[in-house]
Amino acid sequence: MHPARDGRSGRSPRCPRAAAVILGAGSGSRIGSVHNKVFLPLAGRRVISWSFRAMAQVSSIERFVMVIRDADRAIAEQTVDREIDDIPVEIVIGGASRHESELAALRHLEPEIRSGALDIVLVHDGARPLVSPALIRQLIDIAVAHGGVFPGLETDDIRYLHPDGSLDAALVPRMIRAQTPQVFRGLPLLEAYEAAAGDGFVGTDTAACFQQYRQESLQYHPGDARNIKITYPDDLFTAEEILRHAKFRIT
Amino acid sequence: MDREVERTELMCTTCGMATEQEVSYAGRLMISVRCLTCGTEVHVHRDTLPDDYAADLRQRFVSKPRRLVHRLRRHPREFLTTLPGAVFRQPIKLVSEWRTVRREARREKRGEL
Repeated sequence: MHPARDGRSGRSPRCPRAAAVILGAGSGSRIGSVHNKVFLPLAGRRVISWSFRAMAQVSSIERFVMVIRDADRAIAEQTVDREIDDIPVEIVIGGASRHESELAALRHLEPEIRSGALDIVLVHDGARPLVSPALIRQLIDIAVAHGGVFPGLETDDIRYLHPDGSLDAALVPRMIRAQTPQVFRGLPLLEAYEAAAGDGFVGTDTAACFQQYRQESLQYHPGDARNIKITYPDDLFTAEEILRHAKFRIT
Repeated sequence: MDREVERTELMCTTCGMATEQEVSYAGRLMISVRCLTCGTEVHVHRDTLPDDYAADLRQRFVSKPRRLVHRLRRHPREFLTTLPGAVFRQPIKLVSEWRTVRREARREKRGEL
């Protein structure tokens, strides 16, 4: 048994069976030899590898899907081979948008979702390398109970911008900055994405599509301030610093 | 990882959009990120860079045998054919890393970063 997956041996028969989909396809705007930022080295590992390491510590996750663009196939295979070869990662080629990439991953998992072999699907942004196994476990439990959940951080500094460009001075109450992984029961999520494909609907994130097509409750759960998204150069340094302080082990 | 510079696309605060950027490393430590469109360079202010690099280097040496055995087991033919070249390049790589660390430490000391 692989060290990263030791926890599996004690899995109860009623434990949900989950699949982790980690997105690394991006917008598809890059050209040439420029790889997606999820393949940048960060503290000795590619950014996307950190997420797989976190997911592999959660015993209910049985499938691991990496969604990439075709141009990154070689570096993705090399990353799996060198850094996460103890995790059975399946590589799926995504689409031009995040929504299309999610659909590609769900169609890849469709037989197991429809047969009931998979109960839960987590969709995670590969550019968030610092997700903790503890948060993932909490989200899976909530998704089993309610249907869908997304983590986020409450923010109290959002103000409304009117269409004419003027600001509303009043603070907007209880706004959430969404994070990932967003976690759902598998079949409703697949059906939502197939319905969206039929309608030509493109959601901004997984939760948006789920909410558009499903009646199941979508819960919010407090996220983790460390679970940052690599967007600006400074985020790379911040992530490296957080990893160093955590002794390279986010729990 | 045997490259000291990687290119990717990140948001640039000066350009206000996603641009191609060059990320420089000394070993596993990130040194700087430079926008290839406007030249804006982001550094981390780290006065302990030489010490951090030395600690990282020690850790790399300690884990090297395990990593070599791992690669030998998984891809024996590729490992054996690339090993001589890798052994030859390793000192050059380390000297280059140390030069980068020294240069960055000097710039930090002079307040240029």
